[in-house]
Order: sequence, then structure tokens, then C-alpha cells
Amino acid sequence: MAIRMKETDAVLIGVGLVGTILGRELTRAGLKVVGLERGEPRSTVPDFQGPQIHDELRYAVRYALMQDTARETVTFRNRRDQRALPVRRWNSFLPGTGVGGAAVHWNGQTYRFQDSDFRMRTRTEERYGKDFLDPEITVQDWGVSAEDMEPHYDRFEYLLGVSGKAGHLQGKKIPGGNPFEDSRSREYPTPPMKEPYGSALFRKAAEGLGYHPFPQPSANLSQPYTNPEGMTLKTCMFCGYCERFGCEHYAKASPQTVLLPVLLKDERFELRTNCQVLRINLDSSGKRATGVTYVDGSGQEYEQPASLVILGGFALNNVRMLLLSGIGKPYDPESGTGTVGRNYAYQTTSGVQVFFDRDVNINPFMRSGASGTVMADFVSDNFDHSSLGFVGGAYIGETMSHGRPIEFHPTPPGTPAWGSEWKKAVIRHYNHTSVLNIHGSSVAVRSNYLDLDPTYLDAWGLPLLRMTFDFPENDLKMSAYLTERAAEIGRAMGGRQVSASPRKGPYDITKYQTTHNTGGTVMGADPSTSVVNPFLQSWDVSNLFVIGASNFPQNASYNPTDTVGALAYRAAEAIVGRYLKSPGPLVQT
Amino acid sequence: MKTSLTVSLLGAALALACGAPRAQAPGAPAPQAQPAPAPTPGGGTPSPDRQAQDASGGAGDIAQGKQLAEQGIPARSVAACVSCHGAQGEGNAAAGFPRLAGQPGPYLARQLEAYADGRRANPVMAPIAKGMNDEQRRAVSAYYASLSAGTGEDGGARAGGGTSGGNGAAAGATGADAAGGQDGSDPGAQTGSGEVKGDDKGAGAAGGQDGAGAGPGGQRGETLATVGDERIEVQACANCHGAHGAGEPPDYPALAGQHASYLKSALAEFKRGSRKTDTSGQMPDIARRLSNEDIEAVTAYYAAQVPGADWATRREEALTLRRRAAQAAGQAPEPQQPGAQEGVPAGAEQGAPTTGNQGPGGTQSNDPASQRPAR
Repeated sequence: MAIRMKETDAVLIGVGLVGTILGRELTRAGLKVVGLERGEPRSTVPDFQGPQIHDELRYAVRYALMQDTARETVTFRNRRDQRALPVRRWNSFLPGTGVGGAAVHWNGQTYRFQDSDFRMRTRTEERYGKDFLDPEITVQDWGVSAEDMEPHYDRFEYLLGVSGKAGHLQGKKIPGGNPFEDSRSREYPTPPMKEPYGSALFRKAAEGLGYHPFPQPSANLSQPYTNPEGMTLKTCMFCGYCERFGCEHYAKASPQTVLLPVLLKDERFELRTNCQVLRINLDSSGKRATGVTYVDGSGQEYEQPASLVILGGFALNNVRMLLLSGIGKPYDPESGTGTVGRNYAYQTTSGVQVFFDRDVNINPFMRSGASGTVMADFVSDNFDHSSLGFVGGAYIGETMSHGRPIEFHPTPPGTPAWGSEWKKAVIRHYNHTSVLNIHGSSVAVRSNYLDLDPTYLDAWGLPLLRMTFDFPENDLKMSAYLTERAAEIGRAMGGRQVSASPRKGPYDITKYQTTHNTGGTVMGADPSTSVVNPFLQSWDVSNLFVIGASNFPQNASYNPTDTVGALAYRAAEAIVGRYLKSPGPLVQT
Repeated sequence: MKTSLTVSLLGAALALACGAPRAQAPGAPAPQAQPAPAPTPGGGTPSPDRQAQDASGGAGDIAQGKQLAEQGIPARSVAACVSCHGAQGEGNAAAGFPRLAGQPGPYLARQLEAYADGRRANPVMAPIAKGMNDEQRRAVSAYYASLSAGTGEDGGARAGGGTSGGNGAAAGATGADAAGGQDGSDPGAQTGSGEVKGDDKGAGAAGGQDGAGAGPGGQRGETLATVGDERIEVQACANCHGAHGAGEPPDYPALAGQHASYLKSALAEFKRGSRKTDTSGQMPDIARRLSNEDIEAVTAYYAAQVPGADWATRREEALTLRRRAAQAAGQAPEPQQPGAQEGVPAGAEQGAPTTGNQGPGGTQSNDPASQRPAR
């Protein structure tokens, strides 16, 4: 029998990046807020301190900060005619858990999406004609513009203290920054990170080929910074232990370093950890959430009544929570109707390895999660697609994030995979290899989607989320074309040998690629093709807001976190400024 | 502990191979080091070996450094170092003169540069540092780096460790409770001033479960050194200065066995901003967050720690590893001539290839065995 808790104004499902931002904005507006986090509490001291935090086996290989697949995982298949099986060990992507969520173990790459991303269908049809897009491709507009998003990107980046160089400031192009970005109202809060040697080689080669390289925007900071919340971040020490790790130096922006301590001091906020939310409860009309039901670490079930529910978990878990709660109409790939689970997309990444002579020392170990130099010449619709047969693009950059001993063993093609010849090759190439990253977009297609698995259950007896995904032809074409462009740059960098690995199908969930899972609760202006309106409010349940990368109608070329943070601030502004004054739908249907 | 030491030695070997581990300035790729014969630490002439060079431009001449340390440069009013820092570089606790013995040579050389150019304001050291040229600064730094941190009367109270490989350098130990030739590679097993130091300084392990009570610096000193304090947002000193303050050559000085009086004045300099040697701003920020009581505690803690292996020994170990690696790599086939070759499509972790079952490094072979997921 569930214990009924005292009613609160708002309940957060998940206390990661989104939960922390919404918690802060709602308590500041005077609301009492309860934050429910399924994982452990943790903070920079003592949880992320060295030497323990540099235990590569524990964190990078055994995933100490990630969701526990023994309790909760996803099932996977490439196509609908296959039987999905549960993922027992994460590989392709690494959902986080615990206070701070995935924003604890991220790399800190902090990019804004472009206006051409937010208007992908309209722009594609305008520029290339109505017949350019394959009918299977279900990309759509977001219902927001870059101009709508700018103040929220700005606010989020100033919360994090992002280190970068503007390329388009108040309508003026600035040399050295990204010339393709939409106009930003202010310069980055802190100057760019130092440029590693391999990145400098990339920059020179890219410039020589007529491209426009710029320093990667980084939430690992180049200098100390105090944000508007009064939290101070310190300088990144280039230790090379970002992704999959917490930062020991208070140098990586995460909820713990930018906001959470401020929120925890607010007596209107209550954090409850080890609390697994089972479902969002609805009233008899099915149109209003009454709160949530959760289980604590001892197995006791609770009901937490709340006037407002904020679903701010990892993208995949947001989708699952709606399906488990019976909110919205599940997507049916047969008819193409229904919205929850629709337009699941990923990221189309590939790599180019550049093997140098012995006198070129790359020093891969002195890197940071987001150090490096990139170019946006092939991002989004910054180049002419008319003869290419695909939409979307990628940023290309030298953004190596580490040279860690267990994981980083570059060897040229043809090297045996083990044994003494492999060891010799690793020693030969470890310090003389640079890797270019091709970080590509992912279109949504009819056949890629998320639903509840008919067979497998989690530790609480609830159906797992089932993922049906393969790389769309469009994205494989894009990867082939842009990986070759990156290989050209690799050759211009002076590499003795260049090995290009364009992404190929079928999608293999046993190979690490990226944790940029998107879609499934997409935003939009049309309730028949979206789950939430442009303010992230559920079309079906108006006192429920769903916020995260699950809102992306398709995935863009850039990393998602900046957009997730900006969407969180946008939703918070709409709730505080409009919804609380007059609860109900913010967009009429 | 062993694993992490191996890794740090490997890191040191690479750092030596590649210059100081710092990101290079945009637009200025550093000149590349040339392959060179194995260095001869302690050799009589300045080594042409660029592999062993530090950020300030080269390894110094130890013999020249010894002469400078003992005699100074009277013509330029440079006093002999030994007059303040002791015959064996042990420093002087009462006067607040730091122990120099066993510190990383590149670190010492950079401090002399900083005294000379004013980034460290010190009326005694400034004229001395200015009186030496680059070569002399490197030489005297190399000399002090070559001395064992555990020698000298002042250090004798705790000394004993600091050597490895059984090469007899432990002879300098004079301390009553010296750990008797403990290998510096296992500082966790060494004893400090009578109290047992566990080798696990995890968050929960800092509790004072040993009946002997807290050592010098008390619980607070140990906590700040090994765990940090979330309340004041200060990370553990050990993140950069190594377990038990052993240092992380070539950039980060050893704190173990350094005089509390000196450490206090160093933190005070950072706190008031008169020491500008840390361009990251980490040390000034940390020092500002520490109260006077915190500084008392953490400096007392480090003063009581047993110095680890001295810089010269660690450097030699790192170079040995590097020589072995160079030997092994020498037999590896060179990459083919320029031209794009298609690898097996595989993951790239934000640009870096991963290995095992995760990326190109481990999956390029066509051998089906290599396609099996790693365990």
C-alpha cells in the first residue's frame, strides 16, 4: 500500500540538468518543490576526487556512473521483423543516473543548434523543393526559431561559464569564431580553451583548404568564473578524464558545480534520492496529473501528490515514463499515427585517424573533454545539398578528449588486434596519432521508434523500453561524403597514413558511438506530430512538462546539451511567467 | 596503488618525451623533439638530449649546479644556496626556507625564473635568481633534483624512503623512525610520525578509526589533503600533488616533508596574489578558500609525510620505461605512405578511438576472434 505524502506544488522526475534548472526556477517563483532522483546523491567532494576518480576500469569500462542495467535497461532490434533483446551492458550509449545525471559524466561540448535545424523541413523544402525529402523521412520543424532560443541559450551558457569565441555577435561576423552561427547577443562568458597541438595541425590544414575552423565551445573552463547564481568554477587542468567521469577540480560545468548547491539551500526544495518513479498519476479525466507514484530504496511505495509535474529524465526514460503512465497516444509505425515514441533519432558519428611520423608528438593525454578545434562548413544546411542526395551534415574537428591507457590504443589498419605485433604498434602510434571526429546529424524516419517491450520487465515488474533503430540511408550517405572531406583534411595535416571509417549500417548497439539519443516526446506546433507544444507542455496533460533531448524532432549536427539547457530555461520561463498565473494549456489546439 | 604508479611513471615518461604537459598556444605548434640517444642523468656535461629537456629549455648540469649551490657566484653577489637551504638541500624549518632536495628539476627552474621576473616577489631570492643565467638556473635545479628528499638532518625525523630499485641511496636516512628502505613506490605502506597511513584515502576512509588518534595536522589536515571539502569547494591536494604529497613531476612539486613554515608562506603568497606562477588560477583560488586554521592543519599534515622517491630517481625510472618503449616501437612497421585507407567502421569517442570492443583500435583485424566482445 502506497504511503501518501503531503501534497507539494511541483514534483521533479529526475534531478539532473533539467531537474536542477526547473527546481531552481520554480522555488525562486515561490513554489514548494520535491525532487525525486532514482540514483545516489553525489558531489565533487568526496565523490569525484583523485586518485579514485581516475580509475578508468571502474568508471570508463565498468560504468560506475551509469544506469544499472540489472534493474532497468532497454531492449533493442534493428527492424520490426526482429525480436528485441535486452541490453545487458551499455555500449553504444551510456545513460547516466544519480544526482546531476548525465551532466556529471559529459564532455562539456556546448553548441547551439542553428535556425536551419529548428526549421529543417520548411527550409529543406524551400531550398531544394518539396520532392527532395524521401517520404520515409519524417523530419519536421520544432516550433521555435533560433531567435526564440537565443536568450535561453545565452542564459544557460552564462550559467555554465562556457569557454569559446563568438563568430557572429549582434549581427557582426567576428574572425576566429564560428561564422555560420546565428547571431548571439553576447560574447562567450570565458575565452576559448588552449589549443592542443593536434588541433592546431587541424586548424592550419582546414584553413589551407578554405574552411573556417574555430575553437570548440567548452564547459570545461579556460579560467575561473563566477556565474550569476554565485557559483564559482575553476580552470580545467587538461587531465583527460572528462567523459564517463566526474571532475575533481570544479572545472567542468555540471549541476553540482553551477546550481545544485544553491537549490539545496532553499528550504522550499526537498531532494529525495534512491526514489524510482513508477508512473505519473492522472485523475479520472486523464487530462490532469495528480502526482507520481515512486518506490524508495527499501522498496516502500509512495504517492507524491503535486499540482505540477516536471518530467526531466534522460531522453529514453522520458519516453518510457509517458508510455508507462498512459499519457499521449503511442506511435504506430504501421499507420504512422500516434506520437509518443515517434521520431527517435541518434547521432551519425565517424572517425578519421591520422598516423604521423615519430617526430610529431600529439600528446593525447593532455586533453580536456571539450578542447579542440572544429569547423561548421558542413554543419546543417551550411552547404549546398542539391546534388548530394541527403540532408543534414556534421561538424568536423580534432576534438580528442583523452589518451587514457585502457581505452586509447590507436593502430593503423592491418595491425593484428592482439599479441606482440599489436603492442609494438600501440607503442609506435600512441603519441603520434590524431583523430578527427565527424559528428553528424540524424534524420527521423518512419521505421525508427520507441515503444514498450512486450516481453521484458524491469526490476519493478514494468515493461522495458524497446528501441527499433537502424541508420537511415540518408545518414549513411552523409557520413560517407563528410568522412571523406575529413580524410582530405587529415592528409593535409601531414599524416603519413590516414584511415577513414565512415559510418556503415546496420546500427551496432555493441559499439560505443555517443549518448545523444533524441526524440520520442518531440516538440512542435502540431499536436498530431508532437507530444509537447513549443513550451514543452504536454498536449494531453497540461500540468505536465516533458523536457530533454526527447523533445528534438530529429537530431542536429551538434551535441545536444546546450539545447537541452536552453529548452529547460524556456520552459521554466513559460511556466513561471504564464502558466502559474493561469494554469492550463499555453497553446490552444 | 601499483597500477596508478605505473601509469604515472608512463605519463612521466611521455611528458619527458614531449616537453611539459601543457596545451600549446593557438597558432604556435611547438617545435618537435627529435629522436635522441638515451640520456645520461648526472652526466658531466649539459646533455644534448632534448628528450630530457624541461620547459625551460634543457636539463641542467648537475656538477655545475653543485658548485653553484656550494659556492654561489661571488662576482654577481649570488650567495651559496647551502647557506640558507642547508648542505643537503634540506631547508630550514625555523626560517621558513624550503626543502629543495628531490623536487622536480623543471619545477625548481621555473621558480627561479619566476623570482627573476617578479612573478614571485621575494627580496632575498630575486637578486639571486637574477644573478644566474638560464643555464645556471637549470644546473642548480638539476643538482637539487638529484638529491634524495630524505637526506639531511632536518629531514631525518621522518626520512628513509625515497629510493627504489635497491640502489643504495637510502643511506641518507638518519631518522629514528625511518621506514627502513621502504620503496618509494608504495607510499601507502610507509609510516609517518608513528601513525599508520592506510593506502585507501577514500571518502569514507578518513574516519579516525585508528586508536592512535590523528597525526600532525589532525583530521582536518588529512581530510583537506586527501578528500577536500565540499563546503568551501576545495578539492583534495592529492589530485595534483600526488598521493601523500609525493608530487607529480615535472610540474607539480612534492609537498611531503616540506616545512610547514614554508608551505604556509607559499599559500599566503597565493592568497594575497603576489605569487603568479599558477596561470590556471587554481592555487590562488584554493588558498583564498582556506582559513588560517585550514592552512595550519594541511601544512602540518604535509610536513609530517614521508617524502617519496626523489625526482632524479623517478625521472630515471621514467626514462628507462621510455627507452624500453622506444626499443619495442622501433620494431613496429611504419605506416604506409599517404593515402586514405578505409578502416572498419567503428566508434570514435568524441574523436578519440577506443579499444577493446569499443572502437577501431581493437576491431580492425578481419580476424573474427577480434570481433567478439571483450569480456
